[in-house]
Amino acid sequence: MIEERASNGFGKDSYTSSRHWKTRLNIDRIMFFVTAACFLLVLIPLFSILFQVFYNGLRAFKFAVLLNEGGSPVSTISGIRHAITGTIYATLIGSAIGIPAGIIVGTYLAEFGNNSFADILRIIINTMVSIPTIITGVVVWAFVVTRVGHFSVLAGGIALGLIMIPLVARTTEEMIMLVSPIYIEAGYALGLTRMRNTISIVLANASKGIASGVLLAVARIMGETAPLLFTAFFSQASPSNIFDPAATLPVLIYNYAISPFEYWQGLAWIAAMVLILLNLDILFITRLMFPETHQSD
Amino acid sequence: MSQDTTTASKPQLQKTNSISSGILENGSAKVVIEHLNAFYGTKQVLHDINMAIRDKTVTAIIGPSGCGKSTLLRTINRLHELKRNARVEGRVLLDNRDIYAPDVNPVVVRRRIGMVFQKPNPFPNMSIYDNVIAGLKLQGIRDKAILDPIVERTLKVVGLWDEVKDDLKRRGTELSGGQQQRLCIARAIAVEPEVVLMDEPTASLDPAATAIIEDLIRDLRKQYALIVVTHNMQQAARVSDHTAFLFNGKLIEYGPTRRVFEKPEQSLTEQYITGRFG
Ligand SMILES: Nc1ncnc2c1ncn2[C@@H]1O[C@H](COP(=O)(O)OP(=O)(O)O)[C@@H](O)[C@H]1O
Ligand SMILES: [Mg+2]
Repeated sequence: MIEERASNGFGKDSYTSSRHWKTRLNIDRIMFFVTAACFLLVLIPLFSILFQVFYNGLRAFKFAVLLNEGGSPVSTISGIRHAITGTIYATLIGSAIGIPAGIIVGTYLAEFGNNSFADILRIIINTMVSIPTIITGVVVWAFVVTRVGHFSVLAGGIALGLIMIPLVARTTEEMIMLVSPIYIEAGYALGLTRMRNTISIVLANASKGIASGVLLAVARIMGETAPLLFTAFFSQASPSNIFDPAATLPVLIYNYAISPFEYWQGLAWIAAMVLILLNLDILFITRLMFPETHQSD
Repeated sequence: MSQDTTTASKPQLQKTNSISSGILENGSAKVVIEHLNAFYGTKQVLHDINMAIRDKTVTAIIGPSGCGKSTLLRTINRLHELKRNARVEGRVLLDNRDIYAPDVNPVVVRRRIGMVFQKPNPFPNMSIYDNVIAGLKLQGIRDKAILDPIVERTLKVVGLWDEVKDDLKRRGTELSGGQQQRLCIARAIAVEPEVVLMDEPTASLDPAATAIIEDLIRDLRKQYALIVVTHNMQQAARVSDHTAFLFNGKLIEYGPTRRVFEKPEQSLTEQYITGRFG
């Protein structure tokens, strides 16, 4: 141990001669400044976005906006409550589809994935990740909206769920791969069936990583706009059930921001602020609940 | 089916005895390994292994690293086949019944044969208590009135009870390495196996923890057939009744430990135990 230390730079060898030492210290300083500059460069756009949104959002903000349903642009008491409700509906439906399906697919790929069916499934998942989300929206429109006969928050949720499946499947597979085989073998050696071992040992040991990946995926679908345009569509009232069309925050931002009405543009800023806060909340909860898990996105 | 197995295994046993000289003198075999070949893909790592292992004895498997000790051990509880492309030929009889027969469920085999690994591996998501009863609980036994006494009894067997009885709720992974390994032994014997396999159980432990585990191995021999892989010859000499020397996937010599160490029949064995290679 002591010998090792000596050769690691604490003893007297040529490696630590003062000239080398100085060069190394200088390189170290330069690298520090380069890194710090890059860091600031990244922070500038982030903070300018946050500043813009909060500056404009707070300027237009009235508490009533959160409580009131939508309305005409000339009525200055209309709000964004319908879009908040719609986003919650769509996100919950999306999660109800995307989380279980993603976890099952990811687990299957990680634990039972040594066959050609799994290879095909893996290709499908990788393709799904890269499909533009607007296409997912169109597909759901063709398969769900046209059949049901009208837009609905259910169709929107299905589109979000489809987007979520590959995200959750990938994290699940990655997190399961991180579970050390020594625990999995211990489970089999105790006489657990493959199913039991997969659930109680493999998934249980990967659960923190999976949960944190799942929360990030929830945050991601919450901000999706394109897949909702032809599915949940829009409405000026909160959906009374999942078969109603519904406004969502991202679609409201899109519609109101490009409208000519100043009041609606203000609502769009507020909606943007609410959406960011919801997102930050989820990220914050993730950090708080799973401080030690590495996050892959 | 089981009759076939018994009659068919008779002549094999004779042959087994010729290499397993002195093993079955007074007592019958708990585990019999017959013409066992093991493969990873096309690579054969065990060649025609024949061994009979008696109940309530400690059998040591020694040999240089890479000679197939772990593989041999893992064919006895059908863990080998879980590795990618791993394959087995031949038979392993547990109480005269071939565990590789088509109608045998490997899960049932593994419940009868416990295993302790080289690196202590208590489940990191479980408390000490839950680790001990992991096998039982995951098989569906949840009644605390049954589980509590089992936890106490098995932790006492491995000498861990006094050290941990006040914090059974702590994570198993918070214990020291030696304690973790004893916890793993407790977990293996809590399901009441008949055979306990140990793959270099002290390889990652310090001498004091090693001594405790070795004492424990000698204790456990009263109840189980133990098969212990070690690449430490002193350990084999200290704990085992019988020793098998494996080299390049072949069983070179197998017999009572004293005889193997004092009067090895094969010159290869002698060279290995006198430290000329390995
Ligand atoms: N998963 C595997 N795939 C391919 N070869 C393996 C695998 N595991 C072990 N082997 C090979 O099998 C031989 C025996 O290994 P092992 O049984 O682990 O030896 P030991 O326990 O005596 O060190 C070695 O040559 C090793 O390289
Ligand atoms: Mg080994």
